[in-house]
Amino acid sequence: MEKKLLLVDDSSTTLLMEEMLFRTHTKFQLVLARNGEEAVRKALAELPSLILMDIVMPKMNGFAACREIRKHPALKRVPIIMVTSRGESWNVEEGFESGCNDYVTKPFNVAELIEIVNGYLMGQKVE
Amino acid sequence: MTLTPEPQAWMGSETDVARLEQDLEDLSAQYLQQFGEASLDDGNIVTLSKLYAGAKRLHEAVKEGAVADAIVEIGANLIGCEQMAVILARGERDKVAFIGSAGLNRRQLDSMHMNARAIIEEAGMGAVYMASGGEEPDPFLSSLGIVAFVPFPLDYATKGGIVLFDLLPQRDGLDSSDRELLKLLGAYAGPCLSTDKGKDQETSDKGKSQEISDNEKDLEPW
Repeated sequence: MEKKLLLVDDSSTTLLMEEMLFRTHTKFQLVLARNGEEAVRKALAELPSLILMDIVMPKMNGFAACREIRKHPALKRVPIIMVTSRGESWNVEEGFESGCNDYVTKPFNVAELIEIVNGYLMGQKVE
Repeated sequence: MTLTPEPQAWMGSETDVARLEQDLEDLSAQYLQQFGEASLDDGNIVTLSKLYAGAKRLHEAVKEGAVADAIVEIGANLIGCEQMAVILARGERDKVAFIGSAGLNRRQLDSMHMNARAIIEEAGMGAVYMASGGEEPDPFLSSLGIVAFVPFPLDYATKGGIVLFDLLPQRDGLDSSDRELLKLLGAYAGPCLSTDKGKDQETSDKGKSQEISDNEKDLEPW
């Protein structure tokens, strides 16, 4: 079965880049969300294999969305990677406390991002 | 390998707008194809990814009539700059309007109020300025803390541009992929912005464009 990625960002620019990367260089199915609320809803409906999550978003931020997602048994172990411009240490700490597995700062390098994602999905990296 | 086209004459006619939209659509399709054909260890892969996202986002923004916001978003997400301004000279000779901005501090704001016209004139009809990546720093722009300036050539004159201040802490400086993206913005952002005419261009920070000039130094931050 094809792996499914949930890409969450309120920036069209970032979504365009992520979508292009995974559509051209992987066979993953993609699901997109533009805020934390939509991310939680789609995570529950789609049960993705991995989530790339922005932090600063309208309606519900990435930390809150991450905490919400972790409450659901079916999503407790899905890898969540924060993708954000906020690279300060307190932000990183809050990200891990909210339940994320990894952290990538923008602007990200597409080759590095796909390597991290593959690391989680191909079993090279474990929770 | 030439990735970004040179700016074309822009007079704002309906034909020019149609050509602009077609150019952006063609460019994003071209970058997408090149990206798809490149391996992930190709030296151009990062540049191609930025050019695709930049061209595609500008194309979307023209259709939505929200070009200034898109430029600010491109700066934040593809370059790693959250302290920037988009300025455009309008009407009366000395009037320069902020039409988009993000994260400027008081010092940068004051600097823009006092020097917007001079920044545009310093650029002249020149190419993109970057304070890193092997380029000799411009003493005037560097003294204002500007790390890059992208001039907008419109109607055969520089009518504004994108001013980039401090980069996010995770960026050591601008690189060749940023230069290509800034060149793309230099070629297309100005014409894209001019298609927003009549849509009451808005700033990201305050919701309204605001005129500035050397004689107006006491405006509230936007």
